[in-house]
Amino acid sequence: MAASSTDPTQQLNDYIKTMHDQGILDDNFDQLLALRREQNPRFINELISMFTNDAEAYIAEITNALSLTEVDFSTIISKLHQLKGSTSGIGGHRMYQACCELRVAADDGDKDRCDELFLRVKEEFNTLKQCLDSISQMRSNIISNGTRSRRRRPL
Amino acid sequence: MAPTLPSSDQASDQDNWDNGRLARKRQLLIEIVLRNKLTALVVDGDTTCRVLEQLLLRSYGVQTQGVDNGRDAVALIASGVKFDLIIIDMILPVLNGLEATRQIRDMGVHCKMLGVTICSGESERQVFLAAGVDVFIEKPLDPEHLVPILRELDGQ
Repeated sequence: MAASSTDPTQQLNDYIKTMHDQGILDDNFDQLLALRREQNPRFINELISMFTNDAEAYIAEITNALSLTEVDFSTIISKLHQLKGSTSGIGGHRMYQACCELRVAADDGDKDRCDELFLRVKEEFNTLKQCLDSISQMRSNIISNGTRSRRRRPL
Repeated sequence: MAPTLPSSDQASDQDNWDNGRLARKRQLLIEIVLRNKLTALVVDGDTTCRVLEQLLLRSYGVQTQGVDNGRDAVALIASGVKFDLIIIDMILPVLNGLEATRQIRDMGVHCKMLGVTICSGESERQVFLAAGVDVFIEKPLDPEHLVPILRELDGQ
């Protein structure tokens, strides 16, 4: 059956391509998709959920460290390292770039610059999260439709 | 919560990824067959990174364990558990990757150690190599760097 513009899989492919074109996702996300074939169908959705939950925790810790009277740059750098690693692994290109810039400001101990760049990190995270949530939802619909199709097949 | 372990479920027939880059990466994922059962320890403080690295290794049939800090890695090795490969992040909670690597080497462990980290420079690379890792790779771990190492460990 030829894929059409209403085909959910084609729509998902097109969406991911758009996210690539906008720089929100990079090739590392493609690598996840390649791994997906070896795992259970819900692997991508579970990984996305894990990433977003952990990223929100790192962002909360960085927020706290930046809010202290004496900014805790050591904690910022430590949590940023983990956030950068997971962001790179999930393929969040623009967010990763924003984290790298924040890391420079944290290394320099520049609070004002950190505040400014952290804002961008949070904005890029929100964009990435929306993108990944959309992918998750589309994947869930594809998996559900596939399950219903198999159940309708004659024995 | 880690993603569910691999099952025998197959992707839907509708799930057709028509992407040239994806096809090449998938090909790379399945291009080797290991003759021996290899084991690997993944040491990374970030859950997503650790899970991804373990999943990549498992896709090649490597048995893996994961720990999230340097102290637990050293304790695990000290307990006598042996691995063919240790993948360790430079920056870790509790005990950092550099010191953990030194302590593991000081125990007389000679297995292949792969140092990984994010956004590093030449100085970090040299320090990690001096601490005792055999190879240094920028995150994320990918098949292009991992496959040659697995082949070497497998004696191919």
